[in-house]
Amino acid sequence: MRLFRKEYQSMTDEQLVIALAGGDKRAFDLLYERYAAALLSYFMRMLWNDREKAEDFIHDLFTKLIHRPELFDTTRSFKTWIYSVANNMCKNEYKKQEVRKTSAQPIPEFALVSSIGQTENEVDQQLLTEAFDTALAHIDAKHKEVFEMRHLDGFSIKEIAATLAINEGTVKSRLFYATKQLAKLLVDFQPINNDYHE
Amino acid sequence: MNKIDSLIRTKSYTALTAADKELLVDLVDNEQEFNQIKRVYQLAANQKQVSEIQPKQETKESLDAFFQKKHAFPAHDWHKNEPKTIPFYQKDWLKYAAVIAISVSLSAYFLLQPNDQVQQLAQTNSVKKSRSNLGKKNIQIKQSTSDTSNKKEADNEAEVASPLLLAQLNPINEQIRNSEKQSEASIFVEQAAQMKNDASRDNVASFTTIQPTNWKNNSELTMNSDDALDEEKTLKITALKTTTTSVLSLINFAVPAF
Repeated sequence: MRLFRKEYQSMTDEQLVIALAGGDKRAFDLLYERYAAALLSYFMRMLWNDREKAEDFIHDLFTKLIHRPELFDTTRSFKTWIYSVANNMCKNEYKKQEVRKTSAQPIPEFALVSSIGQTENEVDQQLLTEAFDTALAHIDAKHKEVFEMRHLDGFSIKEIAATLAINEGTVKSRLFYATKQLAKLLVDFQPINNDYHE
Repeated sequence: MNKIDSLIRTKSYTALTAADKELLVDLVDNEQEFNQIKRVYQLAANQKQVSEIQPKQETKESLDAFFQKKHAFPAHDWHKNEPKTIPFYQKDWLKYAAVIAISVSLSAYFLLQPNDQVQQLAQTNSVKKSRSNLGKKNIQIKQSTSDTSNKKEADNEAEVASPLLLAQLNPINEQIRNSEKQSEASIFVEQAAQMKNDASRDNVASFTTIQPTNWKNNSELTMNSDDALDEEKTLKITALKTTTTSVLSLINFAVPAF
């Protein structure tokens, strides 16, 4: 059983999708385990931190995957494919809403923490997070999108280009401008003295 | 791009080399800008850690239910459940029935109406058997004849040895000759009766009507009656096998053609 499980774990995303198309439940479970949390974060960022809507989008996205797995082109990367589907879902939602929500929207769920019992550093950290969200909301949507995919979703330049169907030079350019804009917006916040290691 | 990210994340501005600054020249001009960019990277990393939240269990359960509904029957089961429609002429039982019917009819035909070769062989073997019996009888007759001649020689010797007794023995010799003739006649009668019996047992119409041509004397009789019967059976079996094989091959070619 352990060997069998190990075999599943070593399977690539693309192999898992093929197994899923054949009715393999464990393949679906593993794909969900790999991508559900990351996609939920992505949807929350893209959908104004609306947790319920993000959950609905997660449900819709994986339902599409179960219902029509043949839509996935096995010659492509599954990660870029599923994020491009997620991105298109968000764009359709934007069109439906017609109005982009801004920082005036409710505070994100993860920021809804009581200040009681928190240390000064924790409160500062929360303020910084809120400030960062506000700054992200103010930059250009295309720049924000690339920046988030790069720094929050951990995509490479190549993966961002494949997901958004743009060339790598454009990705680098957008990333550069996003970083510069955010730096300007967060100029009031003092940098941390000690070196940061991710 | 990865190298730029790495420099910003891991190094302070004072630790940057000339080569590092050359790489960052488009992004930062001075230490203040470098620190601001560094701050952005730090906040992004923090945001990444905070935003790693798990979907609700209800979402997963709902997806599991949908998956079970979609894949209630595996693909191979769908294939198994499809009813197979086989035409009646391609069904196995029809093939077997056809083979059995043809085999039975052919067997009956060959058993009831043996061909000319088999019939001729059976007749020849019967004749050979009769001749063989005749040869044995002849040998017995010759033996009995030789016994009689031995008696005559002994009598002649007695005549030479005792001429005086010759006159007394003459009547006795005549009686012996008469008895010899009678015995030879009775032997031939018995022989003829025996041959008739043998001929009738081998289903031959009459011993006298048989005209053997394939042999000259008794020494040529090399095939006994058991060998002849075996050969006859072998020929029949071979003929049956050949016919059955040809019929089966015909069925194999003809049935799929429907």
